Amino acid sequence: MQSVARCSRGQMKIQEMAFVLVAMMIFFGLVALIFASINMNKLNSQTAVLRENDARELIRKIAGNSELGFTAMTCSNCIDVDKALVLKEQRAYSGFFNLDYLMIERVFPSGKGECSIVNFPNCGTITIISSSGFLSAPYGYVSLCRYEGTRDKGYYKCELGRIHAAGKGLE
Amino acid sequence: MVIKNKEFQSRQATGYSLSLQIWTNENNRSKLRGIKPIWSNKKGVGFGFGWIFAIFVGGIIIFLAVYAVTNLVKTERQGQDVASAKEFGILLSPVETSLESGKLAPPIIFPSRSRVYNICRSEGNFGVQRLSVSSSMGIGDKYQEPEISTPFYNKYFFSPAVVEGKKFYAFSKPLNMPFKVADLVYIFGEDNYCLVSPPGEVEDELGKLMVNANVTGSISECALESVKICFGYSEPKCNVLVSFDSNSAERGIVTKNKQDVVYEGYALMYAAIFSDPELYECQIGRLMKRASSLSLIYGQKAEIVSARSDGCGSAFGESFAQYSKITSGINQSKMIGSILESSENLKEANDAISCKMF
Repeated sequence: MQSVARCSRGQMKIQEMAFVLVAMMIFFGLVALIFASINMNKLNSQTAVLRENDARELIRKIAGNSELGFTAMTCSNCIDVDKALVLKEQRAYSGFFNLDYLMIERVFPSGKGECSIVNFPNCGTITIISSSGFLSAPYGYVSLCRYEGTRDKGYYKCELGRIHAAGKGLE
Repeated sequence: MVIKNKEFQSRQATGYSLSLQIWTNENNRSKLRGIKPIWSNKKGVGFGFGWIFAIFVGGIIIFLAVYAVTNLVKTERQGQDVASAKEFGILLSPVETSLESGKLAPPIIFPSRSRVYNICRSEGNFGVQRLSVSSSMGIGDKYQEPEISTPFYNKYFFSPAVVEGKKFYAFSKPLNMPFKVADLVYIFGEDNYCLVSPPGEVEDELGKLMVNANVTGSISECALESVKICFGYSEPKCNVLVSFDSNSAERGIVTKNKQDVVYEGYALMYAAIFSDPELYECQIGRLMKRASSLSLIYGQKAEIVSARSDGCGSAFGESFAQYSKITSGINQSKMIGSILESSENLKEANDAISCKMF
């Protein structure tokens, strides 16, 4: 009878130990899970920031495209407004940039409404590509340049603008 | 008493087992005597339905499993390769120039040895460049034939039709005719290049932009395995031969794979050196289509500027429209000489006015 009592107490201790071990494992598992999820969140946000920066860089590259870039003077990230106004009407370019959305916005001085050759510069936006199928359109700051003045007494005028783009070409 | 009884029982059992062994040995001998060749056995081997069914179904299951795994690996590889091709194209975007005359990209390193396939099609408004990647794998074929490629409509990559390696290098140079048409991106693998007596300007530029190029005065100084590019003289050992025009090194003919292509300007010279002749000709067609469309844009821009600034830019008249017409008809490099005069005229007209178009 004594041996039976000793044996069951030992088993109890083993069981207690097992429960403690399991509880500890669950506790550390939970802590690791919380730590991992916090880290993953940080990583996700960092990835989102990096992607946004990449997208902005690519958008600036679009500004340097031959069809949009201002090449009359040495100017990086400058858009030729006159070329953009012409490009808007060109149907041959559909699908060329592999984008769903491409829009140039005048930030300062700002304006309202869609631009055309007739109403420019009394307008706010030049939408070159507009099709559905995108969630957000990141943007990058650019200069919007054109020639102003009369004949030889002219000058190049640049304003602050933003170029918005979305689509497969940026992914 | 009990013990004695047990001993007796065990002895009895041993005696019985011995007698049984002797009997079986005798029985075996008689059995051995009775063994006949297998072909004389008329009964045959009996296979139950259960066995046949198990082998049949097992075979089908194993075949389907192997087929499914192979297909899964194949699809996975294809997916990875398509993503790699897309990434490869995107990674080459920063190499495009804005104000620079040439730009070197950091090397693109693949996780395993890979092949980059470069296909050009000149149909449509601007043609298309298709890139596909095939990475080497230990399972199945070393390189899988790419079935899906990534299209690029506004990029111009110059390389051999297939480039193999783990590390890929690229640099770019703008093509101005007379306005900037596009950035030409040159891609090459880990091969070593030997430039034999290049012109000073080419030596300076390629010396900076190509990390694996060696400039020498004689072909005998080139490494045995290197790609030998000879400038201005012919030698049987040359892999690529660049023959200059009598007036300028910026015009001439590049001979590669026993085919001649014509170049105009250093940007196209490098394009002809680094790409296959077929790809070069296709890209010329694409570039000329873009030059034609750009010319129309500049023509309309000239009208807008002229209207806004009391006629500045009106001197261009129909020049851009004519240039567009000429360039749209060019689909071979040997026709490129036909635009030189118009291009020069446009450049002169642009330089003469204050409201520059390009």
